[in-house]
Amino acid sequence: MMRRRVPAAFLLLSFLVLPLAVARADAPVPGGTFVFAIGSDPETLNPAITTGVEALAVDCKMFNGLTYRDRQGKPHPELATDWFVNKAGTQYTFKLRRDVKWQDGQPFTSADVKFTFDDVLAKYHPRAKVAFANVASVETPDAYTVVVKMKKPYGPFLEQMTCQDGAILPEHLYAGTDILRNPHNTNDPVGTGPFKFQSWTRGDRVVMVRNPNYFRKGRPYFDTVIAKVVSDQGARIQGLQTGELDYVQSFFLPKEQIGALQHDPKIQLKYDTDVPGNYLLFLNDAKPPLNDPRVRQALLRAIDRKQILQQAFFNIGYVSKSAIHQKLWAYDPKVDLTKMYPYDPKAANAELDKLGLRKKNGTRFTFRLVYNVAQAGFPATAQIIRDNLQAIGVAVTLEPLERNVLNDVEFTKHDFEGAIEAYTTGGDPAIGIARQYITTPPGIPFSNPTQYSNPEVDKLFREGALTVNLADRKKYYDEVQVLLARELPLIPLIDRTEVDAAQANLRGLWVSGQPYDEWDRVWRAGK
Amino acid sequence: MKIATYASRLALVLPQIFGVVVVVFTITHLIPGDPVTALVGDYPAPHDYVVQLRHDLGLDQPLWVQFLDYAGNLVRGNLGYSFAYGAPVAAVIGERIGPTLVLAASAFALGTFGGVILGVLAAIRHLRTMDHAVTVFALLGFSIPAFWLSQLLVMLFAVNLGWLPVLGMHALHSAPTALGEVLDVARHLILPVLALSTGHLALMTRLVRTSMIETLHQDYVRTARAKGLASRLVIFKHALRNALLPVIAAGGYSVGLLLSTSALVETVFGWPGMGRLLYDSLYKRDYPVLVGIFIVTSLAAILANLAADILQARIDPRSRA
Repeated sequence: MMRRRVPAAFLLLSFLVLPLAVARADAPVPGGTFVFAIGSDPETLNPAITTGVEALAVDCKMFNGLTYRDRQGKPHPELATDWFVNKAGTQYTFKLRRDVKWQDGQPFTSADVKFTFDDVLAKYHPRAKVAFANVASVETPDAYTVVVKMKKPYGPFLEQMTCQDGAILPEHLYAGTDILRNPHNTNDPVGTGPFKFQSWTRGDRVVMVRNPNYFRKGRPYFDTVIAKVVSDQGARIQGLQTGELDYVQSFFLPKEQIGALQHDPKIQLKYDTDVPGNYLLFLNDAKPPLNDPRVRQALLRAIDRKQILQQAFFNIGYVSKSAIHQKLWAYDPKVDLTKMYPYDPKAANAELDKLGLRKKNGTRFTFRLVYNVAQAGFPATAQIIRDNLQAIGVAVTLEPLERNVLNDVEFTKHDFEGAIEAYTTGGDPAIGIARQYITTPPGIPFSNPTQYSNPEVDKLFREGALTVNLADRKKYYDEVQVLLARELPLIPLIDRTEVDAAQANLRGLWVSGQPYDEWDRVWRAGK
Repeated sequence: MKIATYASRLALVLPQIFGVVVVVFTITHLIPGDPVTALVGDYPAPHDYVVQLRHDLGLDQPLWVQFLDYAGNLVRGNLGYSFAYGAPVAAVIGERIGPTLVLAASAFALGTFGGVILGVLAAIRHLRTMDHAVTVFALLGFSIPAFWLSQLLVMLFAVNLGWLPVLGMHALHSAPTALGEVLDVARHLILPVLALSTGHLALMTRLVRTSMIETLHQDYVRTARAKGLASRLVIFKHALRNALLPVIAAGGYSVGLLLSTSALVETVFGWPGMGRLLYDSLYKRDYPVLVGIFIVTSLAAILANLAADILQARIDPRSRA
């Protein structure tokens, strides 16, 4: 009886296996080594105390946040399986996974989350600190539930629960220690993530290996992940061409050199605006005649931003239309700087004449333009702006500076008329855009160097952040965009498109909109 | 040189190092820029955090207090604590000295031996094709910037031909065995050594050539030839030994040159050495590491010159008196 049934079972089995074998070509192949570039050594191996791109690119392979965000910005489960927000936006309840272990074998519980929120993120994380200022208390009703009660609602709170702004640390290794000096920050970090720390050769590489106890069974696929320090920008492109590098994220990719990769069949590029940035021309609004919005409007009319986009940034991105990036949910399509102030040097000339800024020996006023000399595209941008402004009688001197010197000149001494900068929006006006416009004291790098201070603008950005519902938040941001398009405290130049480059044989990339999450899905096809 | 002479030369090293420390400490701290803003990342950091960090790093003290602190530690053999790495400077530099030594020593050896051979070849074929070819090569090699040459070598041999790697000292996608590791490093060494050694090679070639031409016209060489000694013996035993004297002095000088050029070459090739550390530390305003590197490289340059003096004395009987 048994014997007769075997062929039937075999037949049945082959029917089951056949589609599997066909599907196999797309099934992830485990094993191998993945190499990505970073610009210098990571600042720390503790992702909860830094906003450094190098640190996050390395550390988030070993740590997790409660959620990750997909490319539309929607949160998905990571260490949390589920979450609820009450209507008023004053209480967040997170349900945690029960199958997560720290890489040293200790169980992961709500106590770790509470500790990280209260004692690390709220105190030491430059970006998350702002969000946690609104938190009244963090409670842990049981080992797998975390309840966050807010003093006031804070719009982007949930967005900041990813590894980028909300990586969870092991309480048992950090509690009671000096968080900034904890030895695990520089050696032997212990996370919950797909890869475990193996070694860090300074100036060379950080090596991580597969975490066999990772909570998503069967993942990650790579045995080894290496963060390779490549400080020379050109060498990052060359490393991709020779196959020594597998992946370079947009932040580290010199855009003026990607022409070399665009037609290389071994390379895949991703153009995206998931978490976009801007190129900006900050103006010194305290210095006459730039303290007059009409002068700033005339300058915008005189600058050919389309030429900047084409010649300095190789058409990657868009000419800015508003204070808020045109691909961000908060952008108000009614505001369009390209229509309000189209490139028109004649009109700009006439406007400045009308304002009484007459030319003396061909010059109306002088203009010191400062920028980071090492930033790709900035020297070309500066030259175009100089030519544009000189055409309307503004005498521009270019001052290419090294980043640290620039910080001092721009943010502390305010010793400039114009400053070209690259800022990220952080995917939310409250995270990356408000800082460009709100009242800011001197001495704070990467904030608002214009000295522009308008209580109305401050209020609208504050309300926009302290509201939870997106539609309600957008009302505040719509209003502020109309106001800023008139006032022009700074000139938005280009809305950036980010470009990541990877070897074409990699699969499973770019699940998250942030470059730090979801590396457990990536594998290499074909050998 | 007598023992006493060596001792007095050695005793001079200490004040030289002290001078280096004072100058370098002052200059690095006078460069505009702030290690704290370099440390907190590209996002506005909370003010109290910045203040705390500045205090923790001792940067809120007046410069002369910082210097006395530093000098006090240095006397006790402590090079201080790196801001950026959060680790002792000695450990940070120690980790990076090996790769730089491998690179610089290989470049020194290649440049020196290559330079002697090319220089002698040019001298014995004085004013003939070989001489002209060597002269043109030396002139080019000396004027070509190492940084640019590195790029050319990378484009040709790594990107276009795909023969050699461009990044770092060890392969990235495979973990080699013990013997494999030596070969692996050797493979990674070829391009950076070529780029780094060219300047030194050209300098050596020019020096050996000039010195050899001069020596070959000396009376004692003519005498040696006249009494029928083999040409090879005359060139290598009689002439070269004397011709090398100025070359040795230049060799000591070249060590300093190689160490400073290696900062550029290491950057292009992602070489994990001290030159790259210098570049990164300058960017991050990591003062303790900067000063530490300058002390180490100055010490190396000073000792190399001392070694050149001693070597010269041993080869040249006249300076032994």
